[in-house]
Amino acid sequence: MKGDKNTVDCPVRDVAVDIAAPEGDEDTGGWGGLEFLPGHPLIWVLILSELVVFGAFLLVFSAVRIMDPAGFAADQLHLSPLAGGINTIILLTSGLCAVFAMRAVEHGKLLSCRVWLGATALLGLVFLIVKLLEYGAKIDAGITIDTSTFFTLYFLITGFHALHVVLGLGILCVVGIWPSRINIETGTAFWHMVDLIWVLVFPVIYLVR
Amino acid sequence: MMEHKTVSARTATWVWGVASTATILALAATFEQVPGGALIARFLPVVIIMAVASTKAWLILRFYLGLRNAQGSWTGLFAAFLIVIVVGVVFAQAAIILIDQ
Repeated sequence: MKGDKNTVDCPVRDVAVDIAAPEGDEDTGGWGGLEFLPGHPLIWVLILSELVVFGAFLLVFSAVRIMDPAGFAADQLHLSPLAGGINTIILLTSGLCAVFAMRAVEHGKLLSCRVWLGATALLGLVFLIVKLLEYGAKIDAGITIDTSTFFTLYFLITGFHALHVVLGLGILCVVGIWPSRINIETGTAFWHMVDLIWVLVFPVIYLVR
Repeated sequence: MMEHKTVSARTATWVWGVASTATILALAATFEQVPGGALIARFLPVVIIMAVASTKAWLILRFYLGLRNAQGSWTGLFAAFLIVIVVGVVFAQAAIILIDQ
């Protein structure tokens, strides 16, 4: 009889707790420390998963290289480390502009924030143009995704990264339209992630021989 | 959600300067790589290139992405990610050199 009483009591207590929870407080707990980082905690879940995916790509690239170092070295000569280096500095500069955009919104300067976001996006666009020129040069030389394992991985990894740059440009446009502090922090966090990934992709694909 | 203090303009510019210079340094190290040369001449540039890359990545994480505000466990997780990438790439280079010997 006592057990029956308990099974009746528990749901009643649960409902009471739900009703008692203060409105709008659902975001205050359960993020495991992610709430101390800039932007919405969910962007950090995305950042972590993207880093794992690209990290796996880079490790696979290095592992496959062990099997055919001569082939990889020969194919790598078709890449332009200078173009990759210029793109790295372009993305680093765009990251700096994104920091300035965040500082502007922190000080309530919305116009300044939009200008810095525009500069960030413009540099992202320049990155894509350099990348498209690189792809164009490869295609003109008869190099495609099917040419070799090196170029399959090259087009796959850099193409996937370029897609993230395009997505980042879209996100920067959206947060530029609605420049609340949380939006800017979340959008620029995504952009810095794109920057971070390129900083690791560039040396592994272009420089290590 | 918590309010976060963005890094100062001076620090952000300093980080950009260091990262850009490091990129040029890594490019220079690339041209120092000698295929078929002495063991150290083939191994050292890769270690330098990856050390430079991980330093740049750490600067971005800490100052641009705001990881300096994070709890130790999150900082450790991102550091572990970088270590795995660097060790993986350097290990692959060591394996290539050893197979080639």
